[in-house]
Amino acid sequence: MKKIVVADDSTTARMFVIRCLEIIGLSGAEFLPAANGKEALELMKKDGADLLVTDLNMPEMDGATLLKKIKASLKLNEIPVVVVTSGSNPAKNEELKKLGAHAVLEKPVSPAALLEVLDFLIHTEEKTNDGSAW
Amino acid sequence: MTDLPGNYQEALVTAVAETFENLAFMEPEYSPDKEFAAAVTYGCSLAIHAPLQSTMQIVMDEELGKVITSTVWSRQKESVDEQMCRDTLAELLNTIAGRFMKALLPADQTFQLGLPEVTENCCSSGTGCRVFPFSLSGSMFQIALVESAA
Repeated sequence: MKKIVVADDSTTARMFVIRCLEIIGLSGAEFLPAANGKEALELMKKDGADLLVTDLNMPEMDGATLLKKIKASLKLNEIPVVVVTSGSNPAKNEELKKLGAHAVLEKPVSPAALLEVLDFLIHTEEKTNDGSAW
Repeated sequence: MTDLPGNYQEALVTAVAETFENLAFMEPEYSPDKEFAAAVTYGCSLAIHAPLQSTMQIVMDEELGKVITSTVWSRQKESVDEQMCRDTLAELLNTIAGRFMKALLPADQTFQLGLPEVTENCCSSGTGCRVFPFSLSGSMFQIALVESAA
């Protein structure tokens, strides 16, 4: 089972992201909610993760700081990070991709937008569901 | 009031329409000739730190807040509590503010938003405050742009 950390200080935003991920075929995943970057980092250090979907603007630790810490960690730096933010624009997106974000999506995220950037994860999920090695 | 580009009203109305459509599957109508009034309200504000210095506010009556929240969460209205309503309102405002700023600014210019905060005192039209009333589901809500102290 895949572990997906969803970090956002809004419970509404977390619910919306999880619903979208379920719609695109990740309903079998274990979703680990985090209210800020610090919580997300602690969850990932403790349990690992196959994907992080994070907001940018959060209290305690923001999404950009979280992204930097993940990419600087030998243990966590392979985890793909998708940033979902209301503060998206081309200049900001480029900055975040340089920091190591796999993709940057605008809020409110849609299943179609997530599917486009998480195609690789869906395919491995399908293989896992088929009983193949993951 | 901080100088805003000439297209700011259109940008705000579009941001509100897109946000409600994508997050709540609802279609509010910009109603500049109507006036928002409610006895019990939910209000939320969000600072825009840069490059504009202002605050965006949203305020709506309690019943409309419950209708929107129940739609976003796909729940019965009776099961929606105040915390859910306030959180949903904050997420709506955050998304509207982001889309509004993105529409106003050139692609190479970044912007910075604060965190949403509960507010009970939303501004009405006047110096340093621009209000944008919307109709939705037979009720009203209001977005306001408030000038921040420099």
